[in-house]
Amino acid sequence: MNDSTATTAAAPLLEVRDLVKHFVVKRSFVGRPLTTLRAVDGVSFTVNRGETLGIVGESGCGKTTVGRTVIRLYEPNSGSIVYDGTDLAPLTFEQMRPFRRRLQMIFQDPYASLNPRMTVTDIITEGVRDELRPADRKDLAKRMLETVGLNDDHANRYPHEFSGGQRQRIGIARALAMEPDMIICDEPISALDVSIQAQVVNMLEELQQKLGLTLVFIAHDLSMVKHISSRIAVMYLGRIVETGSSYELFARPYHPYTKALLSAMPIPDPDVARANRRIILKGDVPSPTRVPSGCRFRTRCPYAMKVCSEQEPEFREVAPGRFSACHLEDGAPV
Amino acid sequence: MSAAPHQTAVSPRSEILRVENLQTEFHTSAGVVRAVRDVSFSVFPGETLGIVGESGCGKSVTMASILRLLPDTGRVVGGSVFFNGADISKYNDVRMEAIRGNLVGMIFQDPMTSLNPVYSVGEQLIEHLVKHKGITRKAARVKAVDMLAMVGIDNPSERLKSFPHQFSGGMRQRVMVAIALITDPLLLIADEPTTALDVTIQAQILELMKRLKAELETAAILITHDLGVVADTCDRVLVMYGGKIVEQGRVGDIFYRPQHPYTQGLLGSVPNPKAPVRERLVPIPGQPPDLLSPPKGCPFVPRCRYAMAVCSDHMPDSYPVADGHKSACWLQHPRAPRADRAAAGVTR
Repeated sequence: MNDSTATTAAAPLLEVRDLVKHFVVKRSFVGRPLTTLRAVDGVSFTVNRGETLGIVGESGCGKTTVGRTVIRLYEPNSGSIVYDGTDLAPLTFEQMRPFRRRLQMIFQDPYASLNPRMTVTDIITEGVRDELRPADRKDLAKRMLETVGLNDDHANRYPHEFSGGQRQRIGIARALAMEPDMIICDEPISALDVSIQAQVVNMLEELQQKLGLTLVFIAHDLSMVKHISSRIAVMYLGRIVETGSSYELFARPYHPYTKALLSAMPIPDPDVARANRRIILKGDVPSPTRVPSGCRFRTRCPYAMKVCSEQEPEFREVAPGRFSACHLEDGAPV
Repeated sequence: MSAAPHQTAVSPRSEILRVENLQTEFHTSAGVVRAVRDVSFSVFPGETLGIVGESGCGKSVTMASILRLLPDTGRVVGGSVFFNGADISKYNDVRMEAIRGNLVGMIFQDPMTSLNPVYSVGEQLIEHLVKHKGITRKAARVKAVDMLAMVGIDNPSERLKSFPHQFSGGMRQRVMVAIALITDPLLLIADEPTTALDVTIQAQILELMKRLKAELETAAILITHDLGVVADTCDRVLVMYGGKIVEQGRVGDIFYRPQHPYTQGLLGSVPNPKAPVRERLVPIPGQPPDLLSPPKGCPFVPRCRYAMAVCSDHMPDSYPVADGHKSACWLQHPRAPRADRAAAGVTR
């Protein structure tokens, strides 16, 4: 089962195919589902070794659910999650054990994700509690604290003694202590102040280079995602609408949603910001409990045509390495 | 749509708001937090003033102090506030109520907690107008429908009957904008108006605020931590740190010619998505200051790459750099040594 040697170096580390995760939010009194929230509704992507894949989208688009389903915090309804040659989707809790170690996660809320009753040492080494003697655990915690730029005299303190940025470093230290191949970062900086965000992002980049980590960076802050990612997937209402290398996606977006999203992004440069012609989308994102027929974006799309409500657009290659799901002629930029 | 004439005539150059040496403290179990320390600034007719800074820098408390919306633990301990020529810092609650929500429109971060969930949106708009403008309910209703249409709510006369929970987040913030502007205020204060919104909805609301502000010729104060929002919407900017204004100037001064090391640090911390090459971020090291025991000198000393001996003992004055551009840093003192910015790794 753990035969990782069978895969070649060129194979992606993670390959997600047609992943579906629905939540039943309302049931009839006999337990039949009445309302289903289609959080992730057929998502496919790959992550290559050593790269950073950014997943962006607005709230409710399913980006967090993708991350959580990949590490089986949520049970997928269908689809496969091939990690280093092994499909994680059908594995039992016990069989998942070695993979949980290799696939770590950093969470958004640095206040809620650390147990307030545990010391920093215990938090960082919780994953290896049964394997290491107390002295070795202390040692490991110290090394990890040093790696993330904290002092060893922080080791015996409790989470409440730290600021948000420091807590996020502790969360990263906890992930690193497991010596993972891949870290899924779910909005790791959105709760932090601007000056602290840059500290954490720079540290993630340095760690990635030093340790050869593969990162999945889930966020709604487009400029930070562009900064850190080598490739980007744009999600809308449970689907990926466009993927591409970070540079190309920003330089030449194909999908109308990506275009609107990029044009709405605030730019910290007054002359550029004021010259920027914004595409202002109408209305709000529809509820994922009532997904529109055909293309999900058609209710807000400035180019919506008749076919868009009838047929779901295929996610196809519109240019080398560029995929987009839109009915527009060749997905050409308008 | 023309703005209704305001009660008091203002000459174009006179300030709408002038704040002088404002000081606010919070009494907490851990001690006295000096949240706003000696803040002075003005707002002129028609302009948008941005106040930027990170959490705890005192930007929201400054506004709450001006409007006297501080929680019970907070107290303004010094300074004066002149609004439309009158010193309102001595006003009692009754007189303040004639200003808040009437001559000063307010928009807050979270529209769900700012709207009353048990009254329809129409009721809230109408009551607001009847109270402040003394017009009949019928006239108020007509104005409310107009205002909802103006903020881009479809079918406004029907939507008047809806309750806040029946609106989405973006729509609720539109309703907040309608309530804030329906009394034709002289000044609009928006405290993180788009922080809780998604980026496409944020673009809608910012566009709406810009359009209405121009149509109604209202002055505005926009409090935010988002430098992109400031760059897009503000004419002048105050940068706050540790309860003090560390730099102020026109938006171009702040973004293209920042003088204070903190402003430079903030700008270095955010990636510019339009930059032709990928720049490495230059974060500000260390942690934000603890205002329970603020440093004697400049609050930025522990994180400043140029810190000198004088900085930790004496708070610098605000030195003029150019017309209307001031920086509170010892480096701007006429006799200060020239900082070697390149050697310190500052790229912008």
